[in-house]
Amino acid sequence: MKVTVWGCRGSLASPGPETVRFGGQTSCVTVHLSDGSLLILDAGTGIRPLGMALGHDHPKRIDIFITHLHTDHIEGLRFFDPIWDPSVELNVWGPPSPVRELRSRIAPYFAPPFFPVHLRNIPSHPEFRDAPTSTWRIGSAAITAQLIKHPGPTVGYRVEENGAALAYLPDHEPALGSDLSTVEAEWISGCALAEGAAVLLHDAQYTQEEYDERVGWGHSSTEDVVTFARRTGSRRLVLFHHDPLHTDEQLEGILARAIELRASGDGEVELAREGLTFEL
Amino acid sequence: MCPLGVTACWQGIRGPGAPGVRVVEMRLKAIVIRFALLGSRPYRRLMTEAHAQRNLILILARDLASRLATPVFVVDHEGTLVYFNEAAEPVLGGTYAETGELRAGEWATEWTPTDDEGRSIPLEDLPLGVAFREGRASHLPFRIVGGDGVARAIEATAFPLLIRQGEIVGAIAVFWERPAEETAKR
Repeated sequence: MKVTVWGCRGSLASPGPETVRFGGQTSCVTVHLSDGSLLILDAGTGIRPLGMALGHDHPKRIDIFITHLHTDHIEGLRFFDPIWDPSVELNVWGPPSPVRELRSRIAPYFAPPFFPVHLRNIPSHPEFRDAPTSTWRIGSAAITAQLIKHPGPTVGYRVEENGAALAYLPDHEPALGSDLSTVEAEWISGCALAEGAAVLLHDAQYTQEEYDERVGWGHSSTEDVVTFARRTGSRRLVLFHHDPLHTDEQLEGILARAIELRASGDGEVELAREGLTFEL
Repeated sequence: MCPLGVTACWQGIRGPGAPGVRVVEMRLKAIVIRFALLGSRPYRRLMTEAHAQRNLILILARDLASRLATPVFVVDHEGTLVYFNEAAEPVLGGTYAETGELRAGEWATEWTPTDDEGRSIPLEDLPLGVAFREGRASHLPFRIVGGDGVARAIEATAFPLLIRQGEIVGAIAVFWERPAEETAKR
């Protein structure tokens, strides 16, 4: 599979000269499977340039996997060109809620006063589906979604094809209430999703000093994400969901700290940036 | 109907005819069958292998319990004891590190639960048993003998952890020791 980052900024789109190297678009990642299927992880503002890049040659079926309904993960959906094409079969998967189905939770974003066009009038008539509780197949990939620690119903995803796994946990605070270095692995949120992943895209929004003042906000410190990657045996850690206030220079500082924290045997670590691609 | 199904569970138990009762009753039957199989080792092995990681609700429940001064007992979707907190240790007369995981059939006898007249209380009538069997909260005063051999009068309130209508991922019991004179009555 081929993985491409279209947006890796957290919380709020942050364009400008200080974020130009890593990008200001909010979360969106594509996974092109070997059988031609297109999976899209989250629909932050990064999905808008993706739609433009796909042009008229987009696949007839597109599956979008939403981790949760915070604005920075769904705000681009309305500006994703293929949703306006009636010939597209668009499936939107999202976190199950104990109370309301996914469609009714997303519908307010497609209605006045937030948007002029009602969801029922979107030409592609997207199907909204709760992510199943057990692994399911789409094209040549096996998909697993599990609830993870973040305010409100939130899932992370694991996409596996030909023995290689991509783990995507863009908003995740596994250290909340747990000592990641000592707690048994089965008690770590997100552990099963990330276990042995070839690539782990993981929340790394805060420095340790910032995190100490934002415990419970649903995001991770550099220290915690490095520990999480170590505990799960992920081979390549990609720091994701950059804080909107962090400049390119500050992100380089976070990467330097992550490299410093790595122990022998840990995998590689790098910063997510728009345009970054991996072949798994 | 309560979106969580809890209201329906209550209605299903208290009287037929409520909307959705039949569906909830069927789900509860499945839970009862699962609960009846708790002692079956092959069944337990199968379920354990299918869950490499604890359900997030159980992780959050343990995180919360580990910070409370109130004794708390957490069981998973099979009824297996997966955690009790430090506050529970003086009441149960031992630590979770010593006890470890116990299947429902094991923990139900580990502390020899009896009523105030000394009659043994079966698993299905303990608050956690009721929470699983009927999908509702349950409360009961009873007696136990701790791991330290000391008899204690306690009260427990248990409730199921439902993540969706009729879908139980575990249950929690909160308990406390009754006044010393109640322990002495026996």
